[in-house]
Amino acid sequence: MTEQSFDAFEADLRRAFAGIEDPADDGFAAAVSRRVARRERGAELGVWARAAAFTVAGAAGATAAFALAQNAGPMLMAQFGMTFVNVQSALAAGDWSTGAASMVMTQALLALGLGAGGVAAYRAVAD
Amino acid sequence: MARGFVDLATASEAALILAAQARDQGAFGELVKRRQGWARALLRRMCASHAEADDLAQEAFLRAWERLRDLETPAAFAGWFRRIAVTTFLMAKRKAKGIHETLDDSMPLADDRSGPDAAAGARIDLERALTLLSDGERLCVTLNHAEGLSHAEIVDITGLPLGTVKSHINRGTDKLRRYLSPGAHAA
Repeated sequence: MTEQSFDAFEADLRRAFAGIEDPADDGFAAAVSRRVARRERGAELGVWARAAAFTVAGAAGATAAFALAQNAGPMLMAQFGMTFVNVQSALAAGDWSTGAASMVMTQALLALGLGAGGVAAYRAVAD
Repeated sequence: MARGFVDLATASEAALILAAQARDQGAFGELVKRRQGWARALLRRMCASHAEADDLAQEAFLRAWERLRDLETPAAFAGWFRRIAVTTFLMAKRKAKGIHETLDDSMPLADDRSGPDAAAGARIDLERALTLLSDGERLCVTLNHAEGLSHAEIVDITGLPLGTVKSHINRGTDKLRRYLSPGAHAA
């Protein structure tokens, strides 16, 4: 078969493709609209469910934190107080030792880690 | 664009797309109504069965609804949707068996043509001939001959290697030529 007849066939093929009629609607658009509406309702329910889950989780966390604070609070406060006093006295004495620095750093890193962990956990749940 | 300012029946496609991007389901419904013929025809050429094509077309429209905000300009809708339709088709085929499978080039040509001679015959013939192609061939032939995409554009839209795309188009076109050429099934 010559190159010319190849081209002619491909031109015929294009015309044949163009000649295929598009299917009539026959309820297709309505079916898609129904599925879209169903999906949107599902997504809306999901948002409410997530909000409810966060509320419950927040309440549970607050209750647990309160219980923990009641039991361990005084001890923790005393420990923080001790740390503060130690650091302050070290600073006042002009003795900015490695010990005092590491104590402050430990507390700061701990707080930072807790914060970062909280944010990461929140994002993971939100996603 | 707020709903109420868009008269769905007379609105331009761009206006419908902008309203749908603002999550107006009615505008999206009208958009589906106007585009369903083209979208279903595209998928019917890619799929062996009309039922499968219509299922995939529905799936493609749902994906389009979810990702409509990614569409940067309404003028790009056709190309953007075509990509979604092709991706939907490829995912369905890969789930079913894998479009990257080696093509069986020894597939026999059907010989049960019932001698169509009317104008509708050409359409029926082409549709029947398309069913003789493998999924990959049908996809590439449709995108090339029906949608007018270049080889590079087909590579971009399907993710198939250039050599595979060329091979699918050549083999697919050759099979169609053998089937559709006059006298091919005269006996």
